[in-house]
Amino acid sequence: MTEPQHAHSDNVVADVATPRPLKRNSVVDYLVSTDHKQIGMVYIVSAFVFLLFGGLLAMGIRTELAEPGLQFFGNETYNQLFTMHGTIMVFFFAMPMLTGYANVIFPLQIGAPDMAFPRLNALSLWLFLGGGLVMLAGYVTSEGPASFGWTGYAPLSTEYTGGTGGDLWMLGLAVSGVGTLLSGVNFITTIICLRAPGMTMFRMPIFTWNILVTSFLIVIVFPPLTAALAMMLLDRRLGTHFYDATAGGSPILWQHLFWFFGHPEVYILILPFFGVVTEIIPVFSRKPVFGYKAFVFATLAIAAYSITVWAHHMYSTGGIVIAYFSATTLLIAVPTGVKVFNWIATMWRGSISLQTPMLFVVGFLITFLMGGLTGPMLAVAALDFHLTDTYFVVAHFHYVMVGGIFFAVFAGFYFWWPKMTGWMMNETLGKWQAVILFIGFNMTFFPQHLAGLRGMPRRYADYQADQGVNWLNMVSTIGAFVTLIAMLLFVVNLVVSRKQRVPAGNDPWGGNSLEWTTTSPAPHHNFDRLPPIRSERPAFDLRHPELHHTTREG
Amino acid sequence: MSMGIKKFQKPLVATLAASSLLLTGCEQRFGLPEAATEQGKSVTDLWLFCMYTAIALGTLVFFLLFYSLIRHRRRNNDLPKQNEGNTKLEAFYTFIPFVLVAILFGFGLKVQIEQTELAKDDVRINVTGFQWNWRFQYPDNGVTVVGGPQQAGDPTESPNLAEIVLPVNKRARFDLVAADVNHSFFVPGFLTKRDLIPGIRNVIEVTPNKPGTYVGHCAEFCGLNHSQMNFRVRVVEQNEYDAWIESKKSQGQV
Repeated sequence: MTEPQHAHSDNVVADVATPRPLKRNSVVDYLVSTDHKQIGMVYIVSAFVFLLFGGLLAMGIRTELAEPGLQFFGNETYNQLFTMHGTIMVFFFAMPMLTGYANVIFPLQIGAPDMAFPRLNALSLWLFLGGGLVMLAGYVTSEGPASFGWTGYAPLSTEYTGGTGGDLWMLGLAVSGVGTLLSGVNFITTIICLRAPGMTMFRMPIFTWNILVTSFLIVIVFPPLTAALAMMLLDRRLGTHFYDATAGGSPILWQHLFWFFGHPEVYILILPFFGVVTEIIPVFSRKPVFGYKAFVFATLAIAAYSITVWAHHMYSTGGIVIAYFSATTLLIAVPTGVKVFNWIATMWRGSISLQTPMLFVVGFLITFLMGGLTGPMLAVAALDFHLTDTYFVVAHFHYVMVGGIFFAVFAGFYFWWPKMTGWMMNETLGKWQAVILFIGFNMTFFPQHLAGLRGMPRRYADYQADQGVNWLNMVSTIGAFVTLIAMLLFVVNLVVSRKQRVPAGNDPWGGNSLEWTTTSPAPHHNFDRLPPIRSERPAFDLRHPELHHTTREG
Repeated sequence: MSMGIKKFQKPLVATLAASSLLLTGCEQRFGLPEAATEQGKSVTDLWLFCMYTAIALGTLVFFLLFYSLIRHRRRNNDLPKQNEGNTKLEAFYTFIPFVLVAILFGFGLKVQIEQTELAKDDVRINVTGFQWNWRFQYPDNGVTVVGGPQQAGDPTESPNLAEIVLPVNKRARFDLVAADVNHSFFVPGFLTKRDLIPGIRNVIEVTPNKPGTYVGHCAEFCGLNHSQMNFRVRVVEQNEYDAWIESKKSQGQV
């Protein structure tokens, strides 16, 4: 790699804001801050801590499944492992990670001084952290944490599982869910009301657009989840019968409510990271986003469809109208496909440099595409009857969720960390991490497609040795340990880079959006002086005043 | 864009041709088990259609991606042409996936309707799932089979596993009832499954057409011993089936 690490050659952005000395903040300063950047940092750091914990639980799962037979854990411990792994990764890693990135980045991208409601923002953070601690408190109860799966299907989770861990699981999710809801309200208000002069809706970066759409989804689907969890707690502790078929209730009601939240939730998690990728590709291809409005409309279409597809998780229940949910689910593939083609068209005939963020984006594109190709297979009920609740589904959603979120999280981290802290991450270690993570991830999850096709059900503490899935599980477990190496490399990189403190400057990558025109880290209230905003690439316009317009063919 | 497409037309066509040749060369189910029922044949066809489409589409996109990654690497400081989009091209790649999913929807719906329609059955079995085993009742013959307690990893042939015996080429109907929590009746060889949910009555009908022994699982997480809730399906000739029913009756399992 010939490019210098921290000084992009066409980085000629003038000192729009002058750097100022860093004030060291204590942990308490961060926790009680109302500054969106500091709140965002707390979200991101806690998300990584939860990621490490959820990852260790996953290592436990893979270690147990390496060979047939129960070698390390009993059934109950195993059930707790995958329940807490799923819950932590969805609610306490991916959710705060997107809230963290949103907090730190989008106010900078639209030239806002802070969130519309800074104190509400702090409350959101406390509710998230409090909810997480409540849920984790299950580990110090006598029966241990929840063990009914992260989907918590009734009546297993109501009448048939006692234990305080289950109650804490529900309370924790409800509390942190309220925090997320408040974040959604805050994000919408900020994006609608606090854009800088000149920042019209169609000049907003795609990341900000996706946060806006995601926030609307949050506001639509989190209240039903809270209500569903409240009914579940009432069933468990006060003897109501919402989900009890023997007393006129309905177990399938929980599935409807859960997935009415749960499927849009998948898009709540992925859309912001689509946004991250859409920010990074143009910068490292040195071209504008190909099809800006197509990206916006694709995001809107995905969000709209996402609240009409929930029961595709329930084909095998025999309680739903399959044709409708199959049609809407398949239709989502269309706007998603548009995005994939637009990403590649953005790279096409560009000037691509494979620095660490872009390398992670390539990993994202490959794994997300693989997951995207197995999606329509599951959308067709005739195939889903065979595939649902097997490892094929586990493989599919890890390809889209881990491929989609994991690789994009690290891409965004290497991309924006210099902006957040003022120093660069080490490129060499970053590239090694990207390559090893890619190998480990594919080794872990590709064999699971085959195991699922052969009929291995998910959530099995043990499997029979005569089903032809032994070697598939062994490869998968080895892959998990390779992934662990990549994660350790990341921790090493953080420590090394923090020591080296290679200064980032305002704009280490040759960025496009507004955040690259302020200092790294940005001052309190973000901008001393805003550059003119005449397109969706104000930072690019500053560097290239000679270019008045871009071209659009056809 | 059009100039660019011409330039890599040849290698693209070559790659697509090579991969399709590779795939059609031998009988290939991409990991799907061989269907043991009449209904499974159209499921297998649907699966193959999905796989071929996915492989063609995946090859195309990966080709474009890697072509661009290799050929469009940064070589100098010149700014590339700042192309913001191409309405015709974008409309084209909106339309093509739409057509593909429309075809998939139609094909899938046809197979699903065939799979789920109920006809006159020859053998009827009432399936009850409970924590953590199965009860299979043959109401026409008064035979009941209940599984014994399983150990982790019991093989399919283990006497602990509850057993269903079916005559080959006869339409079997399974009425699925949950006694406590949700379960799911899953025989991978039948390429289908259906949930057992309190308050919902589900039915599966299949016509097994290949004699043999097939493993069955509970596929919906049902608590502590979920992974030790396996069963066995034996598909046998009619006379063997009749003999099995008689022996069960004489054992007094009624």
